[in-house]
Amino acid sequence: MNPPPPPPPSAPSASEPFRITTNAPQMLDANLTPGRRKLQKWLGRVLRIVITDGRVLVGFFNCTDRDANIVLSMCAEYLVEGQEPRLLGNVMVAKKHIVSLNIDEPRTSTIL
Amino acid sequence: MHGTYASEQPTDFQAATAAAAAAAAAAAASASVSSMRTTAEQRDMEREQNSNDPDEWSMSECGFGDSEVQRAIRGGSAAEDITQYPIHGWVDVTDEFHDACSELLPGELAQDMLFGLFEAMSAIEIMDPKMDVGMGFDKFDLPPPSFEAAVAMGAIKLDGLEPAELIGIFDALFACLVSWLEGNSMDQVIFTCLYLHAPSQIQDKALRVFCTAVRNLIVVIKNIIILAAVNEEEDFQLYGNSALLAAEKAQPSTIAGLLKEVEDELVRKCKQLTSTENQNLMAVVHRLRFMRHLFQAIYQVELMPGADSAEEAVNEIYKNLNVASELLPLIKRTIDRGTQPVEGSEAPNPMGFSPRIHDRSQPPTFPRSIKIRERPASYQFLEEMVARFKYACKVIRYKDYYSALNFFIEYSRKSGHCILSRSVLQSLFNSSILLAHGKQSMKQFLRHSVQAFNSPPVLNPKHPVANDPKVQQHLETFFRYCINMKTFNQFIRLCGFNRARQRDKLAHLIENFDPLQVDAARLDSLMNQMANDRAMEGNESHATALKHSTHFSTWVLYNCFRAMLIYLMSGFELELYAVHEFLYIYWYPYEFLIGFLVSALTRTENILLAQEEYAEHQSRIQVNGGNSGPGGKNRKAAKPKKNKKQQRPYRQEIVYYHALLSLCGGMYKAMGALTKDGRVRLPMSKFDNEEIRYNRRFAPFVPLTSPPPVSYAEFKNIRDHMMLNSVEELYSFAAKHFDQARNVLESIQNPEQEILDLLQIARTNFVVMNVLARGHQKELKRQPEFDFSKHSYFPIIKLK
Repeated sequence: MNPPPPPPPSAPSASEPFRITTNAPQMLDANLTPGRRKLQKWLGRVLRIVITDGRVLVGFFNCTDRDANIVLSMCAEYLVEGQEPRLLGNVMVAKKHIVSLNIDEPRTSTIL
Repeated sequence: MHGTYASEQPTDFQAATAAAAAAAAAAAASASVSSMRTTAEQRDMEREQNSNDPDEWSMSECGFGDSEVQRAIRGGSAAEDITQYPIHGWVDVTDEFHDACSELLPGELAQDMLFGLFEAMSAIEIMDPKMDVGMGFDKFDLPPPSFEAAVAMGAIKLDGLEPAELIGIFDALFACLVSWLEGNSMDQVIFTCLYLHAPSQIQDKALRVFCTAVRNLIVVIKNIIILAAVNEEEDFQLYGNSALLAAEKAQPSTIAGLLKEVEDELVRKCKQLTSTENQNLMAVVHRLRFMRHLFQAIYQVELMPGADSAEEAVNEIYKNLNVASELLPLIKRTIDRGTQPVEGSEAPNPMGFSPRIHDRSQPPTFPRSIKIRERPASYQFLEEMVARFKYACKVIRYKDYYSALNFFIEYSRKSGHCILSRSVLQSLFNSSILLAHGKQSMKQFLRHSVQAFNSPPVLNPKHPVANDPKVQQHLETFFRYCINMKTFNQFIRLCGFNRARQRDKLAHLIENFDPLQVDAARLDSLMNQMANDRAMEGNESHATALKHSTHFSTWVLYNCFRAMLIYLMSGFELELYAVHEFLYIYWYPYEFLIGFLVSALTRTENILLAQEEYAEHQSRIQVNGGNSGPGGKNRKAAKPKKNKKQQRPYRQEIVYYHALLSLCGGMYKAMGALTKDGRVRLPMSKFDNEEIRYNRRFAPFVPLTSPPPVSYAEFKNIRDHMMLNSVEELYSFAAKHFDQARNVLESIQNPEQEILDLLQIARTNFVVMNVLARGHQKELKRQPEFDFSKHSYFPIIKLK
């Protein structure tokens, strides 16, 4: 990946001290950076996280931040994938525990 | 914004659909949720048309673009099942994701439209040992064994247990019980013991009976706690695996007999053994006996409302507690005779426990990581708990509201952390007033309490005025109102909650005092009115009895003031106040509240005195043969003549409040001086509004008519006036207050620990204030340390 030069609207202004990127239709921002746009697209989709102790967490991608702390909702925890999972509800995974991330989407879709 | 969004879409979007979407979006921007959904649908349709496989798109995209559907899913309905994913197949985005995240600013979130504070707060942190049960599971581990599995594997013995094994299991079970009482889930502590899952299948009699006793004890304890209803979620987990509990029916009445039987058998067996074996077996007997007496004591608390007399029932309880506390040292000494938990293992005992058996069946948002108490600490807890129960038994001595409330406040201060101790106290108290006053217990109790507090003649059944039907009717109305308002019961019950929750509930309680005050004042004025009527009728004795009545309003006000003072001061105990707020928190009791309390108590004492004198005067007149002169009515004239041995029942409390008054005054002026001296860190003015903070701190007092709320402006006036003095003067004013407090406290005979602590605080602060007044460390504008370790209301001011 070759990120384009840093986007201009990154400095938080006084009227908007805490930026939020969201997929809420009434707040869609046209001038999103490519990374933000990607995150926006993935929000609400199903994300699979493999964590450092080998467990697999599958849940709806709810929130993330600069440090890639991820919140999943309706998360299912698999000790062994394919076996009976345990439902956890909302979970937060810190970046240091993330091994890999997979999103559920058609392989061909590289649009947006 | 929506328009621009549409126009900024990549060019491979069909222009026509983009325009349509823009139009729809523009309409949606000003409209409601439903039209927002339309926008989302529109957008999805665009993509659908654009995609190679429209069906696939509609399944994944429409589901999540649609806020209505999202709400349904996140609401926990079975609309969508996460386990059926992936639908398309996983695409690795690890690097892409991290790169995308690094574009975000510090503090910026990329969040789903339905993500909010609730989701953020309720999320379990993965790999946090306190929250994540799944942590540390090895996928190759066997599932934790159940009772049946453990028996089949031969992992647990059902018969022929060695004394050491029994001691180990018993001690571990006590540890589990204690851990449960400390607020952990029953399933995750007590029911990790497999023996408890099916006690009837255990052949070893001692173990079977002990396990049955534990299970019954759980039921009894639960009942007591539920009935007392002073538990909060952080104190106690009411709900456990009731399926496990229900399997064998509870029969608490049989337990003591069963335990006794086993004990006797074992004691007989002991006699045939060598001394070491004998000692081991005796250790088992002691544990069974301890269990029996503890069980009996707690069970009798539950049964108490059905007893014949409160004293007898409490005596029985007390006896059992005594035996139990005598056994504890013996048990503690023999802990090492039992099998000990394996180092590094989570099981409290090597045999019979399956620590993770319920972990994966618990709801995910449950408190997870459980540490079962160590054995010596558990017995320590039980020892202290038995002592607390014994202390709680004293409550039946307090037969009126005033002394009962004092006892509850004291008890809460000393035993506030243990839910069972608090519940037992509530239970004992409620049963004892029920037994003492019968059916309408609370009303009778309150009547009795007012009489004990300031003995209004109208409540004295011997006084002729008490039979006046009109008086009776008014009294009846007032007390019925008291009961309906529940304010008085609430105050006592509230003292049973944990310390942190009490404050919150006090705020509501204080509000409820207002209508009672109004009603009490009305009752008093009715009595005065009737006094005039009776005087007109020439009924001198009734008129005098009814006249100048302030009994009821004084009683209500006094209790209200106490609630206010506790509320205000509890903020120090809970460390809610910032240092720069101390000034007005101490100011209010100093300027008003404690003065009110003292005057309410003094008035009460004066009423009592006057009544006594009047009664004596009357009897003297009768002896002298009539002549109802004006002296009978004139209280003040009669007073100086009387002997000095008059009882002053509230003397001690008044003295205590005088000391508090000086301490509050000292703290108030000290804070004023420190603030003026620049030694108190103040919030940045940009973020500060003292008026708002002041109003919030005193918000619960606002609904009261009496005392009238004091506005921020009034406070500010008073403070500004004080601040006119120089820093040195202010320091020496504060020193003077602390000196006064010291004088008052030193005058108390046989002081309790609290008085001694307050004395030390007064002395130290006096010295510190003097030092500061003399200009010590004048250049160093450091904020002193406020050390609340001696007393939760007053700090020792320490200069660093």
